[in-house]
Amino acid sequence: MKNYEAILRSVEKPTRYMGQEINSVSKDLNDVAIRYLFAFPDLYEVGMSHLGMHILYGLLNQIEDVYCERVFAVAEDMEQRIKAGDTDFVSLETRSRLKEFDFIGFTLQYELSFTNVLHMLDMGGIALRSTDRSEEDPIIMGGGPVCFNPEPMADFFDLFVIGEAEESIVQLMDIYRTARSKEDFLIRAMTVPGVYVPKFYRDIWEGERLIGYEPLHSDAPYPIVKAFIKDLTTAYYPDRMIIPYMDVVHDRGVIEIFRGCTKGCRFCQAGMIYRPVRERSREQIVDLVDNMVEHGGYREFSLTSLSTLDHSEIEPIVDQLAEKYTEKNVSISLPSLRMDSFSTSVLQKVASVRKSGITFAPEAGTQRLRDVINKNVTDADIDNTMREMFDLGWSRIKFYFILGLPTETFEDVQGIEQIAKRVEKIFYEKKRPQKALQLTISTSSLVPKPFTPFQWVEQTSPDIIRIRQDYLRNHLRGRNIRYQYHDIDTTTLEGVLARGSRRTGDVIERAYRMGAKFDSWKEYFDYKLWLQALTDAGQSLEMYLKARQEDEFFPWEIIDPGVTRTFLWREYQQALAAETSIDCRDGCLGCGINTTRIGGICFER
Amino acid sequence: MNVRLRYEKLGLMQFLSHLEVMKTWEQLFRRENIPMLYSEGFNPKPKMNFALPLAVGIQAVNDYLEIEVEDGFDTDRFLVMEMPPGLRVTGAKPVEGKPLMAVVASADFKITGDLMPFAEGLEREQLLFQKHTKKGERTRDAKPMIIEYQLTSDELWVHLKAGSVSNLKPTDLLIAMLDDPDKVYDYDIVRVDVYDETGRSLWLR
Repeated sequence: MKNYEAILRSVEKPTRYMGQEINSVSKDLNDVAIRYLFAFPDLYEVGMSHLGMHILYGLLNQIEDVYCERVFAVAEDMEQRIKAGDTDFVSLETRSRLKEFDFIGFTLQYELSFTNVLHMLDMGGIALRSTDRSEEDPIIMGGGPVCFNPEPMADFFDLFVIGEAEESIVQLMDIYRTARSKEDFLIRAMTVPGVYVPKFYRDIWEGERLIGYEPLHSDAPYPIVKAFIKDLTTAYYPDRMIIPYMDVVHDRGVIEIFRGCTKGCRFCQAGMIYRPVRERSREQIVDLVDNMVEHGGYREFSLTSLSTLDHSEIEPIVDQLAEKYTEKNVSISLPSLRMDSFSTSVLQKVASVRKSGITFAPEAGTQRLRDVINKNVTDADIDNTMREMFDLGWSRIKFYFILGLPTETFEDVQGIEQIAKRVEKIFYEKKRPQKALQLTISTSSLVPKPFTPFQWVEQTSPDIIRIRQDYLRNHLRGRNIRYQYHDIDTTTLEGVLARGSRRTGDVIERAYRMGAKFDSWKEYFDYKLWLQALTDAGQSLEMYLKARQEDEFFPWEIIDPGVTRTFLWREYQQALAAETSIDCRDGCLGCGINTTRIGGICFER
Repeated sequence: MNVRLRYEKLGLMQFLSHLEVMKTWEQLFRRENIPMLYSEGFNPKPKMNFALPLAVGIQAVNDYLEIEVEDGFDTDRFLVMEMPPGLRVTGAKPVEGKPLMAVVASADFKITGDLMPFAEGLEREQLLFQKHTKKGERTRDAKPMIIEYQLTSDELWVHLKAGSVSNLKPTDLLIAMLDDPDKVYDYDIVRVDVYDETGRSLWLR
């Protein structure tokens, strides 16, 4: 073992491993009964931008005898030092090894981080499969949106918390204090909302077809109902976040202004699984911003949610904050903008400090296809919004589109090109003080996600996506327009892992053993390893990417997200007919969340 | 009003890159409501400059920055800010004249660790090391850039040329004397002070 300072001097960006940031928590281990390690399966600079980590870290550390520390995946240079035995893989706060913790809680934000979970367990000297671990090993927990289909990772975890974990995790700590053994803890944990202990369930197959699950313990709930916070105004929210020294991906204060979304875009998993919509009050939001900026010293803060301008009081909130923070040179960032004149008027208020680039997501190139996905934006909305933005002085615009949407034809792809050319024309229809238009068109490709109306659809084949990307690459050229697109192979793999079953765990472990890790990083991703792992496991891409039958049982249906299968199917059928649905603020669509979970109306005008 | 700060950057603060140091100060000043002046333009930034950026892995007892604040601001406020561990302001005063960066001529360092290789090394006629430049690898001689040195049983003290005219990094000097360049990471290096062309500490200028 070498001195840790000497190790840190020898690696790139040592602030990744340093800890001791402002607002990080230090506790005396002698006063601590439960040691929890929050693990993010990616590099520090990615993980520190994740809001959920800041919430759970603050929440757990509020409990006197619980100490929550952090660990992130390490970069290759550090990994080599660990493998050479020069140092250990340790937590940021107390530099403790993974085995010294009672819990290791991984957050699963994207499927391509699965191998990094195995990589981190391995580096910590912990067996990958729960069945190979002993009483002495930490309890390996998982949470985050990807856990709405926990099955691909079920064999590696002792316990998942499905849904919003703020209340459940505190209850789990209470149970752990009095638990007699790991087994006793896991059994009692199943009384807590959203808790899923995979080893107490067996998956039942008829050949290649999953037909259901069998609970193996009398206390095992089936299905597992997601946990959610009923009232966001009384839920815990940190009044300060850890302030990284390092330049992280999103370096700003983040205030979550509401949860859930009423728009009902049919491709969007977050819009389905985080129902119902729940707002924080205006007073609370303003207080949180004041606290966060005062303790953080940020030059920017973000009012975040799935659709920020839909907060019922967004205008007075922005007015109040803009007035206060413009003179302090602190800028307000609003993600997820809509394309309407309300957006431009709000944007105008927040842009007095820094006029950066603006992003919009029309998602599809033609009106027909936008109706299919229930993205209620018209060509006129796009044109008018752009004209207003340009008149107000903006010139850097980015548009997001999705390729491979159900029913998509070549005309829809050409529609993307036509939008780009129209926007260019609008910019140059008169002389403007801005130098030149910088328009970026970015496409991703649809990965059909569990618990969305598109959970039944076939994932569009890589060959078709490639042709469509090539078309756009060849036609979106010129001085003012730039085209970006997502890598096809990583999208295909995401599709495999998103709709996988418990049998997918075998593929993930095989890929990891062959060297797969950091799959979301272009420089590490090796598609061949995954294809090999699928073959070795006796599986195929086709099994995962194919269209599903109406009555087919899905691996993720061990979970109940509150939204019913009937609703999702109905939305899917309407999509195929290119019929839109209304925003739930304008009337209830009967998705199930209000009748089954909250016993009443989600939202009152 | 331009204010010069003298500060310590010790312990873990050695791991911050110069960009991270700048960001840390900016956030610190904002938290403390220091009335900074900003540059004009689409992306206003505080008017702040540093004497001589430190490489990652090197600590400092006396480091300097200058920051423009509103006229009449009480500079003693800088001495009572809540600081990250390892960072401490030891002086603050209003100044005028050239930016610090332009007057730096030398800096001295205390180096601790295995001192064995240096007794012989420092006696050499030439101390060659490789330098990455835009034109590729180039061999340089550290010897003419050493102003003074003193080797005792527990530390090596060196006074090296620094600044825009001629600059020797202490790590390059050590690498010139070590059989394995990776051993340089085993040494604790602390910059003691930074001086102008007359040998005066920047604080006194």
